[in-house]
Amino acid sequence: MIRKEDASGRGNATLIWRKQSAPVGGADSAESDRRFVRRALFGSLIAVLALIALGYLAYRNVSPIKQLYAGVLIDRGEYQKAEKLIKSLDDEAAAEELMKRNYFACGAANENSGNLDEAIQLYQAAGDYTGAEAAWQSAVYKQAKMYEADGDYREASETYASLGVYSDALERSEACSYSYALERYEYGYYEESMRLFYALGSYEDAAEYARLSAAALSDNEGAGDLVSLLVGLTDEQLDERARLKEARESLPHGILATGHLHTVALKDDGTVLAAGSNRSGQGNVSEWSNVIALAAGAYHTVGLLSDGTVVACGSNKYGQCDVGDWHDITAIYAGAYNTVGLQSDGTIVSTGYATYQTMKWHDVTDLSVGDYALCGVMENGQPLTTADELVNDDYFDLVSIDAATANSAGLKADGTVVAVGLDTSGLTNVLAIDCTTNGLFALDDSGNVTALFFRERDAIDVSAWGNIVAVSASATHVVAVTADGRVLAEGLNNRGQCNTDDWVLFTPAEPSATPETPDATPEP
Amino acid sequence: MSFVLTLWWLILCGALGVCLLLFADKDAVVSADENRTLAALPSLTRDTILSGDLDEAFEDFLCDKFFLRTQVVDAATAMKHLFSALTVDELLSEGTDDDTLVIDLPEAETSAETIDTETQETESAQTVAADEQADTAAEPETEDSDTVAQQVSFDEANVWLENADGTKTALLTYSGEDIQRAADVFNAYAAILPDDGTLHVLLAPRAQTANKLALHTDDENGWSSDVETALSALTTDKVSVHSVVDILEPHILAGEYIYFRTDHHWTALGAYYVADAVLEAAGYRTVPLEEYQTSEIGDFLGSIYLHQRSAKLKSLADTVTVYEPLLPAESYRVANAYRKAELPVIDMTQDDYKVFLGGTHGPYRVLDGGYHTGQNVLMVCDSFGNAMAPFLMPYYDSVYMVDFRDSYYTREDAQGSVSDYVRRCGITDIYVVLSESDGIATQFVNQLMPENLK
Repeated sequence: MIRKEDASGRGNATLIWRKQSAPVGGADSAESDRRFVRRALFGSLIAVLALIALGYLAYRNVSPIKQLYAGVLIDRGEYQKAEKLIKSLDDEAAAEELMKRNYFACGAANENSGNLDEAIQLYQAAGDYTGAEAAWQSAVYKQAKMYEADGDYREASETYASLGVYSDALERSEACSYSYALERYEYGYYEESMRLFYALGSYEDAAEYARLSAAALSDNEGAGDLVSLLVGLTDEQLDERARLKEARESLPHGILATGHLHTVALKDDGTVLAAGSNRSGQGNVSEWSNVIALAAGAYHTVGLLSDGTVVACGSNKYGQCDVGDWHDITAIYAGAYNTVGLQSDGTIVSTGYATYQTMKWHDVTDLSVGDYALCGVMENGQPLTTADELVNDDYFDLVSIDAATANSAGLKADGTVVAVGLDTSGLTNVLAIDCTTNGLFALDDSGNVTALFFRERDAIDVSAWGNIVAVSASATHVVAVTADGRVLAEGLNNRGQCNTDDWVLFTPAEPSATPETPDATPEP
Repeated sequence: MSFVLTLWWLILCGALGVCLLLFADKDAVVSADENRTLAALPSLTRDTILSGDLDEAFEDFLCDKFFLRTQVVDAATAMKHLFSALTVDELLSEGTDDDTLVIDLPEAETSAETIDTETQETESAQTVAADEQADTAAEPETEDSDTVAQQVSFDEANVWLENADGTKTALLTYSGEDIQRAADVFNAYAAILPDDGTLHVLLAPRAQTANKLALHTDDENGWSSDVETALSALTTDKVSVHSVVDILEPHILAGEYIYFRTDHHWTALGAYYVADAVLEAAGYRTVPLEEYQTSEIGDFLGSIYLHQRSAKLKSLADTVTVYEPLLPAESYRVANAYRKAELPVIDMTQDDYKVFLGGTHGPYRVLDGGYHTGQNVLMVCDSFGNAMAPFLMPYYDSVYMVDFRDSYYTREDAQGSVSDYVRRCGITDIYVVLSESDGIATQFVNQLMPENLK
């Protein structure tokens, strides 16, 4: 290649490429130059087009190539490199899936090297990746067993509990709770052991240990009501409790229910009356018979039949009316968009918008469905809840509980009431409660209803009511049954939910004036 | 040689043209970065050719959608900031025209609002009296001495940054006249509520203001505000002025993530703290934060970043945490007090602050949280209300919202005044939730709120 001055004055650019033997100047030279330029341009165009095509292909295919390489890195155990590469992917769906795979593989590697903490977190991060959940459960179970073997029973109990119904995790969780309570008792932490044993209910000899813990505490200054309860009540207190229990049990149960804008009531012949809004069909109860209890959600109504099955009507948007296959039900409860049933063997069944974690619950005697939480009471009066803020340390010795939005109330066996956020100190001899998002209605043994509200403007005046045997309330209206079977209502009546004036649910039995005498004419 | 270069240039332009046609978005899209609509590929018709519109439109398209434009712009701003002396502190605290969608009223109109306080007070009283006669459902204020607005003189009120050495630095200053005017507006709104209703006033600092404290918690003792005290002295008992500064201060000092770093809004956590404090003060049992399920959106670069496009800020990209409603929640556009098209409550298709309610939608909207309490609320708010509204749902049957900024609201679409809505929707409380840029001394309070009351 040579460089010579071009006589034509076009500059030397083209000459650089000329062959050494080619002549300079002249017609041939000009023609040759033109041909050369054409070729150069054509070549350049082809090159540019090829570059564009290559760029386009690379642009279109860079993601699959990256994905492929990320997979290789994962298989080779280079998880950090893989993570970095995955994060650079534009295809979010593919990146998410690869990331899950990376987490899963990294989790497995950590588990194999004995790093369970890390493995559990990684399995959790892998989410719904195939096999991730099973691996997570297995790793958590292993970890719980390690805690148990180390004697860290509290941690072990909580870790087992987080597994739910996996293998024997629930049983192990209770066993560890019991061991932990026993440990606290042996170390002399009686108040803690008392509460722990009390929470275990009928598990092995937990009740006895609760009593022993309380007995150890009872000499201490400031021992609380729970101690008194567990150590033993006086005869007078026991008599009073028996009287209240009898009075509570004599009240009709489940004969009245209030939804958002509707009211339903159960007649003594097993049929049901409805008032108020029927926009979702929540009032379509006229065909029902053999009903023994009612419950109402915001826009649905549920009835428990005498054969233990359940019927429902109204809004089924979240499956809250899917109760057709329920059986052996002994009690029904309804929340705004949920229905819950208690079976004769203590099993809790539920349907609707929310799912509740109740695997560890046992000895359940009462339930209440709040707006977002489920609450219950154990046989020993211990509260159960899926939302901790709905109960506090004053909640013990309960016979029933009622949850609303972020508040609840509990009725104690001694006729007093506990409620979060409300001063219930003046309530005594209470037989039934109904808690709403705005306040609380308490029915006492004299047939009066006391209403307490968070805010004055939400107050509904029921002070004139008397001789009441059942009460039910929504946030905006309250209904009650009198001893002679009439139904009273107060509050918002925009859909006719308070139009219960002509309802008579039962005719009270006439008190017999003279003692019964044997039939004078016995049948043959 | 020049011929070859020209040809090369033409080939390059052709290649770029091909790339533009291959890769550029041919539709008109809204650029969140630039807060405007980018031009679409013009349609090739006889009319557009003859009228010359095609050339112009194609030029706009080229300017808005040229190949790698965003990257080029980013690179240019990065270069700018490379030599910038601004620190991250300064960048985070720099003002932005974040609420560029607020109308700019002519100066004369704004001045016209600046009337002497005595006259305004009289007008407010007359407004109240007129309302009393006109609206029997929503009973306005009476002449009860407890509820009549007071006339108190303030020279100014400030939001203070309190330094460790006992000195104070004013972050925001409002004149006595501004305070009086705002108080009059709040009183007028409170007057249309039922007797037991309350108007809650929440003036939220923007992140730029909050960051001045958040970034220097070692040096400053805290912040305080006497704006609320001044307002409280001038408003009736039906108006409850809450100090957002006081509510948020402990959380800022604790280093909680209650304001975004690259955006002027508060986070959902900050909004929750404020809503929770106000509701508790009003006597509600509030739902703990732990009850909410959360989801997160990462790499959020908000208005402060978009205003500056600083690489330093880009490294501080935010995470948007969303608290899912506990019950089935629905939202609808509202006109003439009737529910219209359905809107999202949480819009996970968004990757920025618009995840809350899917952004602002006017003229009115309603959130039905699935709760039944017998009360309804109206939020008069700017975008700060979007993160807060979901936290009001457990305490009200319906949460109505209105944003008077002209991009979202017209009186014609609303087909009614605030008074009409209060009466027809059974509103029992009003929350005024405005950021400092839309609050006192702005057109929002001076003009937009009063003009839409009646």
